[in-house]
Amino acid sequence: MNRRHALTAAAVLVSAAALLSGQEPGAPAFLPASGLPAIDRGLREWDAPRPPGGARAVSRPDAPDDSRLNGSLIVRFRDEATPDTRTRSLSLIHGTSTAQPAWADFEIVALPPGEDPESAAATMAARSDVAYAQPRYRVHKMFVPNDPLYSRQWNFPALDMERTWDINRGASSKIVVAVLDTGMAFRNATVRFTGRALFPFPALGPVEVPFAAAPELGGAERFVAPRDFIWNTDAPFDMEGHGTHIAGTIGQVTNNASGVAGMAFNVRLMPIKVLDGDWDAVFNSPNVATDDLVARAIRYAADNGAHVLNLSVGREGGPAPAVRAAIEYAVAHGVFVVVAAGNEFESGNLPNRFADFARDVPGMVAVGGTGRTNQRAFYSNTGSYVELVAPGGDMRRGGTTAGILQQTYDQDVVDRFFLSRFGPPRFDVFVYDYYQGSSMAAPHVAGFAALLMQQGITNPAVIEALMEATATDLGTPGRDNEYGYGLINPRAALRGMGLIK
Amino acid sequence: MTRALLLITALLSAVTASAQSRPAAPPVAEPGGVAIRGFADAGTEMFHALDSFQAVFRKNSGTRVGGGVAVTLPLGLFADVRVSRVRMTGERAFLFGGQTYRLGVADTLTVIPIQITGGLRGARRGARATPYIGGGFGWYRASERAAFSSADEVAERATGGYHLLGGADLRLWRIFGVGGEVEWSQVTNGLAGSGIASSLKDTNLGGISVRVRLLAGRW
Repeated sequence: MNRRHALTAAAVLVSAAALLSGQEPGAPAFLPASGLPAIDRGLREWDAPRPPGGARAVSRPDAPDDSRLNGSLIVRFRDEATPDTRTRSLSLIHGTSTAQPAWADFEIVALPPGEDPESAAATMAARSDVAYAQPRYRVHKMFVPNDPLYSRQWNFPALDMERTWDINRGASSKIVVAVLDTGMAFRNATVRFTGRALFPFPALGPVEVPFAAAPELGGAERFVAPRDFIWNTDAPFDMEGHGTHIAGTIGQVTNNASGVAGMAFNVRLMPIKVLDGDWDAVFNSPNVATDDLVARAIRYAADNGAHVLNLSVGREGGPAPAVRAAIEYAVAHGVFVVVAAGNEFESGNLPNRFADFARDVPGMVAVGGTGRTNQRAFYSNTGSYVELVAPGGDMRRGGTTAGILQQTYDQDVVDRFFLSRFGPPRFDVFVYDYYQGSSMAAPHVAGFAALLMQQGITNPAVIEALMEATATDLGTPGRDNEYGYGLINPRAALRGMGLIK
Repeated sequence: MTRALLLITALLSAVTASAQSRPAAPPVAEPGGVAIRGFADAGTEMFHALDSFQAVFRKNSGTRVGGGVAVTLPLGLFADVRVSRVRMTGERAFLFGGQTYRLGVADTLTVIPIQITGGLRGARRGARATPYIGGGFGWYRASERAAFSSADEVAERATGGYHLLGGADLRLWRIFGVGGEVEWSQVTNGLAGSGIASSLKDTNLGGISVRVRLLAGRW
């Protein structure tokens, strides 16, 4: 007998044994161990697509709506119930009692097909001989986004976001978060530019550049009052990817079985371009990023309905009174302002001048970056103005995957500044990419502020106080110059305080 | 609270009606003997920690219900053992700049005092009403649970405290009677923790309780 025949005979014998032993259909049949080792295929390059929603890939016929099982009920009869009263109660719902399961003080009552478990439970619960009755509701894990690359986003579990989202599921479209940055991949367009010569690159001449909305930022309804202060238009196209990445951390479409997650994934976004990049220079934008431009953009955001403002931008050098005045204006108008603390720690730790007055402005916070181990990231500025820290990524300590993962442009078709392949860029090809910097830390706080706004805390100064009071203290006990008040703790803030705890 | 007031009103009405319709009945216990009665009571508890309770529950009073055993002893002495419960539901909050900001997360506090009281009864032969005063000590178990809490986020405290009380019982019919009493309690450290009470430096879980009680037993 060859090996195949032997296996077939063994299978037949095991099946027959199962039948003879009265094993229920569908119960697993445990075959004798074959001695073959498990197969280890290693880490996948890319996660396989998963079924959408908290929903399952298959639907059980006895639980078509996925919330409860039909055809049965959980019932706990009181100890004093007699067999007669139990029979009378069960007859009201045409139910049949089954054996009490192990480790249960209740029993499962079978219902005839078509009997509604909710109404049957209500009928039984009203009986004096019944302690409680309820449908067999199906249980699911707490909210964990089903976005397939969520497992690569260490930053959200580091902030206990899964339990935070149980309290507040990503805010709502009532909250508007303005992102003052390189723009945002917020809509589709083809734009004709003229590429001028910028040493050492030759002139490109007239080119048609395709732009596309980032698939994971949602549809057109997500974007409010877009404005480009570099090109003086209402089309703040991102020509770098930085702003698009930041917008993703704030509000990436989440739990859509695609890509990655964001902090406050139901907010609306206000794309405002205040930073120019290399392509803006090649295409000869009329403006470059300056303090006055940023100050105007901040006031624009405040006047156009922003509730939270993210500034993952800054500069070193002299003080920035124009920007400070604009931030104070925004805060006075109820806007919570988040500014990245800066990435210059190893370059003299020069302060970000847009952030260094944060301590004096209640309702504005300066945010440093941490890595996977909650240690201050190597680049993150320190100083008396650092008030909070959030995950910004630290690839030096953890490699590429220790960065912050979000969707943005594929730099292979954007960053074409090599003489050998210099040519017009494309802004319609997206990847999920790891970035690091206090720029990546700030949007976590902006998203956090949006959740608090949604929860009813609308005063920027109160939001700041609540964030600082609930932060997880890191480094030297109490406030310090490395971590400020500590790592943001959105769940603790959203829960607030009870009387005792 | 409304239900407690209704109960008090109904009981007082019953006392008045009974006093009008029936002649005085003598106590049945021998002078100097021991009599045991069971009682159930209901009323309101006004907690001393006004600001802290108002921040979370928007009020500092809650309905208190309970019951116990009252033992009349020789020489006009008595002893009571009582278990009661106060449950209040509010919203978790954050305090800043002297203002309360609520976060919409439900918060439920349950306080279960177990108290032993001793004191003097001013009993006179043939009198239907018996005033009394007393004092004692107790254990106060406070449990606070919020929506979305995990097991480690539930606050559980048991603290000792003491109380003083005074009131009067009125025998109505055969073994049944009704009473009213006022209690003042002090439960130092009953609110200690990391919550709003701690922020406001309120540590006392005690309060003033006003309640009526229904009694049944030997008089």
